[in-house]
Formats: sequence, structure tokens, C-alpha cells
Amino acid sequence: MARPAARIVALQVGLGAGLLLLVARAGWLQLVKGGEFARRAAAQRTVTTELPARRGTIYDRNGTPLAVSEPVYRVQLAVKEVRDTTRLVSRGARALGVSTASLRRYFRPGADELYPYFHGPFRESQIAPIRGMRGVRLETVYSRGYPGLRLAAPVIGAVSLEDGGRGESGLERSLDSILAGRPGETVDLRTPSGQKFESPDRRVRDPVPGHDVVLTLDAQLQEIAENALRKALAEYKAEAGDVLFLDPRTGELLALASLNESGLPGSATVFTSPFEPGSTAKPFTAASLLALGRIKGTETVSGENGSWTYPTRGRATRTIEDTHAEKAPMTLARVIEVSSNIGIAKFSRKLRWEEHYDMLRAFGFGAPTGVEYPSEATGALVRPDRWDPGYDAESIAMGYRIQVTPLQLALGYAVFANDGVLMAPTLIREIRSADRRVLYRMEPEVVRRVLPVEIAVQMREMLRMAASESGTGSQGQVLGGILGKTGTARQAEHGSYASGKYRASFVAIYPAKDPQLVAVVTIQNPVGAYYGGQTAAPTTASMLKQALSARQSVIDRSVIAQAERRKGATAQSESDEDLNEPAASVRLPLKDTAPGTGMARVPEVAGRAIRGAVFAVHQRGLRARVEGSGRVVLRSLPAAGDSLPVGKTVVLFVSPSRTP
Amino acid sequence: MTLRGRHWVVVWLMLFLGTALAIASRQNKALATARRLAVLQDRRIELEARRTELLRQIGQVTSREILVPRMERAGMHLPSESENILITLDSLVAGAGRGR
Repeated sequence: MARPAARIVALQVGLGAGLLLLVARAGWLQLVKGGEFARRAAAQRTVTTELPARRGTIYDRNGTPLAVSEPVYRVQLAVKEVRDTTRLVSRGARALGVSTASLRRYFRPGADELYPYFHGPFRESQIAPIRGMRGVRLETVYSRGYPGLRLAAPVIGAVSLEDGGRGESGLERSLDSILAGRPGETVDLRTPSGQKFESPDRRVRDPVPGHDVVLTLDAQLQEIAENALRKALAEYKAEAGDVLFLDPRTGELLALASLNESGLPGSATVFTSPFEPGSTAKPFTAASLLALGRIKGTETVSGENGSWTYPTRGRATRTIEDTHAEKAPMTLARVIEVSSNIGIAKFSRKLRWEEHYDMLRAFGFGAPTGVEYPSEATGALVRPDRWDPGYDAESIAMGYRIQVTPLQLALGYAVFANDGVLMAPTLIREIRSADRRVLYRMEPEVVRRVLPVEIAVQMREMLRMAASESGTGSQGQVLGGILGKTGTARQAEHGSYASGKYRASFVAIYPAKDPQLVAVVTIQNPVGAYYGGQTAAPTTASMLKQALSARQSVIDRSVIAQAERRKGATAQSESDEDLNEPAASVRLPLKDTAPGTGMARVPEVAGRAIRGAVFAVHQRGLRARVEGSGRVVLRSLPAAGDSLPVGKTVVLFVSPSRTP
Repeated sequence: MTLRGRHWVVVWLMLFLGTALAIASRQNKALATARRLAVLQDRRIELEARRTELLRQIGQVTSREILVPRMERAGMHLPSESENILITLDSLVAGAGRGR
């Protein structure tokens, strides 16, 4: 047996080791694991709740709300807390849309479910009868409400109620980061049984509401457009249709309606669904011929009495026909007026394929317009090196073998209305913070000059004749005069043109003098009368008449009133003259004018991102071609400051970084 | 008079009680304010929801879809082109001048 001293030492060592272990364990728990345990403890006695943020409102250009953030409710019943069961059951059944029997079963003795949950969501007017009753718990969520009719639904899009209310489609999706606010958060104390205490010391982060967006759309014109299109689809038993109104001076989109065969809004096909425009594309070839100086003096082509057969390749031939046979030779203006396929096909042969293609690209075809819609279609314009001799150039001139969206078509006509300048389209007029500060205001954005002013004026004169009594669009006439072109294009199905299926269309510029609107109406597969002049043109006229008499019209009526007064005065003094005074007086047959009469200075683009550099070049009316790969422009050719004719190309040399 | 030990105990006790009462009263006030705030927030949300519902109703009853059929039932119609007379301010002024 060990001596007492040795035993004492052993005991001391044992105790010391035990103490050390305790200290080490305490240190481990406090210093290493302390944070985690503190978090676990906090999680057991606190609960974090998200406070939903109000999503920004979408207004029309006059401040009419089109989509608002609307509080809606989900309902939970705390069965044990309910005092007046009979009243709750009778009121609650109506409010929650369930039978009284199904609601009463929650209150039977021995019922399992103590906290039945009704997902809803329920509107304020629905839950008003049970609001404030003991045992009724309301959970607020923000939904999207649409005051009035749900105008421009496909364009505005939808919002998901789940996941904090994210934009799912349309502008709600493309503007989600602007419209969505930042949700707040609150941390409350809770008992182990789950009861919450709103302690004054609780941590709270207030929700930040989203920004409001003012669109360029006009609610009244939008409603007129939707109603007129619905009526037209019913009247002509058509499958679908589109209506688009645009301000040619600014590129602002004023109304957009797309309806399917059931008369319901489908998707925003004005942006997403390209089609072969048929005769409405003829003016673009005509403008190209004039701009490039390919029509001399009183040059005419034969109408071939309505049927023209010409050789294509080898022994193959192709026959083009006109609905209205023309026996006399036709000028270009007459070709547009009577919408002659033969005439435009013959004239188009005066254009080289590359320049025909370049001019159509300059009008914006075959490229996205950049409108703020998430899934815009580019349309289709085949490159000239893939054109089939004897077919494609002539077909494109007639409006086939080219696909455009209604928006691209409207922007192309806006070039004629806007003295030859192509504007960038926009749907956004203003963005405001929740406290009404303006964060962004739309400025009209010039894309490029496509035509010299005098060519645009000549084109307007041609369109005036096309919409006159002698033209195809006479049924589209309205007070103030209209310029326009009809189209009746055959519809392709399974790779070939279907018999008896057409897309009727009409593009209008209104009023004839100082144009304020460009309207595009397309009607797909009308039954019975199927010409654009019989269907789309009267629909356009009907909408314009309603817009003219609307309480708050987007049309500046004083301009039309003055023009009409002048016309009346002219009629009195010169009663033997034509009352339909043209918007501009031009020499017909058409003048020989070359494009790009002005000079433009090349902007300084070195060091800029490609997008900004291309934009700066386009703003001067020049074209841009990018050479190399990368994101930053190193230099341009010609160099910054040099001048060259409008419409010429500037080469931008790019590199991945600012140094070559 | 000198304070004895038990007096000190009473003094400290009173001081403690006074402080505790002040804290409890502040907490009660804060809790009451928090409750009032919650009620007001609920009320604001309720009013917001009612406003949206009213906006929806106003929008519906003032829409052309509702108004035009009612107007037609009442024997009225949308103006035809010949009935659309645009009057400008200068023509009114000129008319007034002729009247004088």
C-alpha cells in the first residue's frame, strides 16, 4: 500500500486533471460553440416574420392605374378561441366560399383540426363580415389588382402570388427589379407553445415599396382598340387579330391589343408574332427606289393586264397576278395606289439585292426594335446572298418572304410620318419612387435617318392616294384625312400557302397633315370579306372616330379642326378644285433624289462599350459595323471628327480591354 | 440622526422599487403603442384594399363596355363623323367677335 503522501499527490493530480477538463470543456462551450448555442437559444424564443412590400403601381400616360398592389388575405380559424360559433359559421361560410356544414364540422366536439387554414386569397369585401371576430386570424399578402377592365393584359403580364410576388410575364417581368419592393422583417419573441409577443424592443426592418411605372399607353385608346378588335373578330369570324397605335414623333406606343379566336387576350403578338405583311410592305420597296434614285422622271411599267409570266431559272417561269388588272402603264405612285403586285415586282428589279436588303434593314426589319418587352421577335429577312433569283426579290417587294411584327411594321410607316427618321419604340414614360420623385423620364430616341425629308413627303403623298376613293383603303377615311395602305396576304400553313386563308391588314397614318398616330390593324383569316380594305380599314376608321370623340383624346383635335377649317375655306373660294388638299405638295411622277443628302461627323467612341458606341453612331444617322472581338471600342474608321455622308458605315474596332 | 443598517435596507429597497416601477411603466406604454401601431397598420392595409376594390368598381362602371350599351338603351349613340364637330378656341373667339 502506497504511503499517505503519495496518495495525496495522486488525489491532487486527479483533481487537477478533472478541473482542467472542466475548464477546457467550459472554454470549448463558451468560446468555440458559444455563438452557435446562442443562435439556437434565440431561435427557440424568437420568430422571424417577413413583412411584404407594396409592388409599384403601373399607370397609363394620364395617371389611370392599370395594375396596382392589392392587399388580399388568407384566413386561419383558431377554433378554441371562437366564442360565437353560430355567427362565425353563417358569416364565414359566405366569406370563405364553403358550405356551412363543412365549416361547422371544425367546431364539433372532438374535431382534430384546431387551426383550419383557408388559402384564398380573399378580397377585403369578402372577409369584411368576419374581420375582427374572435378566433379569426388574417394573413395579409399582396396580390396584383387591375382597376376597371384588365386593359393591355398580355403586355402588362402577370405576377406570381408565391415567392414574394415576382413578375412572371410581360412588363411585370421585364420591369420586376423596378416594380418589386424590398420586403421588411420583424423578429418577435415567442413562447415554447408558439405564442408571439410583439415586444417594443423587437428588431424591425421596414419594407421598402417598389417604384411606380407610368406607361406610354393611353387607357381610353386601349379600351377603344380592344373593343373594336373584339367586334371585328366577331363580325368577320376571324381567328385572331392585333391592333397597335404609335406616336411616330416620339416612338411612344399608345395602345396594343392582341386577341385570339375566343376574343380573349392571349400573348402580346404585336411584339412576338411575325407575319408576312403582303401589300403593306410595298411602300418600303417604293421608298428604297426613290431614296436610291432608281426611278427616273415619269418612268412607268406595264400592268400586263393583270397577269405577268416571266422566266426565272432555266426553263422555269413564274406568274404574278393582280386582283385589279391595269391595262395602262403605271407610275410607282399608281402601283402603290392600286397595290399592284406586277408593278412593284417589276420596279423592284431596279434595285440591287444588297441595297434592297440594306434599305429594309434600315427601316428596322429583321432586327429587334428594343422595346421593353421581354420576348420580342426579330422577324425574318433573309440575307441577299441566299435569295433565289426570280423569286425572292420580287416576293419581298410584294410583302412575302419577309416576316415582320406589327410593331416593326408600325415603326416602318412611322418613318414616312416622321419625315424619314426612325424612332426607338418605348412603353415606359416615367419611373417614380414611392414618394413621387421622378427617377426616369422618357426622351424620344432617334435610331437613324432612313429617308431624306422629301422622299418621306413623297411617300406620304402616295399613301394619301392609296387611302383615297381611287385607292384600296378608301373605307379607312376619317375626318382630318388618313394616309394608309392595305394588305391581304396569303397565310402559310405547313410550308405552303393555304387556300382561302388570308391575313388582312391596314396601316394608317393619321391625320394626313402633321401626323400624330400610326395605326396597324391585322385580322387573321376573316370569313367572307377578306380584303384589308374591307375589314382592317373600316376597323381602323371606327377606332379613330371613337378616339376623336373621346373625352380625353390622345389626338390633338385642334390641329385637325384647323386643317378642316382651312379645307372648308378653300372649298368656298375654289369650289372647282379638289377638296382633298394633300398634306404636302410634291411633283408627281416622282422626283429623282439620292439618299443621305447631309453629312455627319463621326462621334468619339474610343474606350466606350460597343452598345454605347453603336448607339452614338446611329444617332448621327450613320451605320456601324463591328470588327474584332471584345467589349470595348478601340478606334473607329473613319476616325472621330471626320465627316461622311449620312447612311454610310463606320467600322468600330473592338478589343476585350481598353488596351490593344 | 444617523441611519442605521435597517434604514439603509429600506432606502435601497425603495430605490429599487422606484426604478422597477419606472421601467415597468415604460414597457407597458411601449407595448400599448406597439399594439396601437399594429391596429393602425391593419387599418391602413384594410383601407388600401377597399380603395383598390372601389377603383376597380369605378373603372368597370365608367368603361365603354358598360357605358355604351346603357347609352344605346337610353336612345343615344356614338357620334357619327358628320356629328363630330371640332371647335377650336380661336373659332370661338372669332364667333364671339361677329356676335358683337
